[in-house]
Amino acid sequence: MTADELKGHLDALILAVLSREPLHGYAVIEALKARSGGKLALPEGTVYPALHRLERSGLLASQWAHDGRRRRVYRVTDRGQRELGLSRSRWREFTTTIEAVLT
Amino acid sequence: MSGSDYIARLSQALAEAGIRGEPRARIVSEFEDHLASNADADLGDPAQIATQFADELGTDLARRAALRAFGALAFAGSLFAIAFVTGGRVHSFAARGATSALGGLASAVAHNHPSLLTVIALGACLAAVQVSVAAGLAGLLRAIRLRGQPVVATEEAVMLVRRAAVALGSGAVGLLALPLVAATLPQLSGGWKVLAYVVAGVGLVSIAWAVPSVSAALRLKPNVEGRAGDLIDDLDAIVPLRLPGSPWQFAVLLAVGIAMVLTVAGIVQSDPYDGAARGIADGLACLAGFAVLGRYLGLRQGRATE
Repeated sequence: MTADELKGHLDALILAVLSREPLHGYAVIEALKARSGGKLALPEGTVYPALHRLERSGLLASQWAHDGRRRRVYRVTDRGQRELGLSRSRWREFTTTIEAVLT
Repeated sequence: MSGSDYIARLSQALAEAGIRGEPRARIVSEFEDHLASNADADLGDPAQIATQFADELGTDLARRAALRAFGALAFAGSLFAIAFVTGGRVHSFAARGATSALGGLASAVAHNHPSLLTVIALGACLAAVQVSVAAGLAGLLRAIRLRGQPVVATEEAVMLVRRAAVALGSGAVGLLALPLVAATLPQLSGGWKVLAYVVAGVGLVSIAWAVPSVSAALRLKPNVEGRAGDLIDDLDAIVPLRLPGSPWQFAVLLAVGIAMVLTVAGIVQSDPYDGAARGIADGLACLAGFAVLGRYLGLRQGRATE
């Protein structure tokens, strides 16, 4: 799956990954790869602007952590959890509609 | 490209895109950590990454500048309104009917043989405050229209910041003129003069609070092609009614509406001629302001949807 195909979904995917546990940027990308079975192939650097954007929107919060290295760790805020719920609902509605037409 | 080369190029690209200081240090630190975790990571072109950061951050800064300017002006404007309306009620020998259609202070000045300086100060105060309200509201409308968009065109961001800057600047002029009116019209009561000084001081502090956000937005803008919309584009996004096709038509309707409201206010206060005169004057001032500042503030220009 390319970066173009992911457009519009990256924010929700990041929120979903981070809703399980707080992670730093590299771990977010690794989690995206692992949970997609390696099918999400996007330039890894593009995740960082998305993380910063989600934080500015109040959907994520972050702080420095020191576990041998200085790392920025992100977590989903309450607002982010609500937005993730909405994204999941919209996605289910979208796939149900498309599937009904295609099949 | 080695990891250190990549980081050097990214750092330079961020600086060239206008991202400096703590935001740049944070981004660079996160990418360094990423490369320390996986030296072979495909992070993408540093220039493209920097551009994406700058476009998104510039968009956010412009939107915040407009929202913060409106918030600051809403607070300062509320204080100003209290001072303005009470200006004709507490002065030492308020003439009967002093609180007519335009409100207290203007009538208090008109009925007390003002000096030229007082008249100029009051005129500047009234004009500046109305420009401030119009620019601040226009900035708020555009920020609402562009909400949720991660990146907007440079022209849109420029217009957002320009509206915020004009709103704050003219708001400051209006607030500075208020104590000047108080100081140059001896007939106003001491109590109201103190109120005018306090309102001006607190209002200016409120405006100063919003200035850094405008300054930050001026330093970093998104670099994206596209046209800015006009006032009708802004209104279309939030008003469920069918609006006039051109900004000028809307301006004329607004001017007529202002004239009618002030005329009705004059009738209610048993002073219909005064109300009508003030209504016509304010309606014409509205059109004049639209003619002078309309294009600069992006109220009347090509439609974004065209």
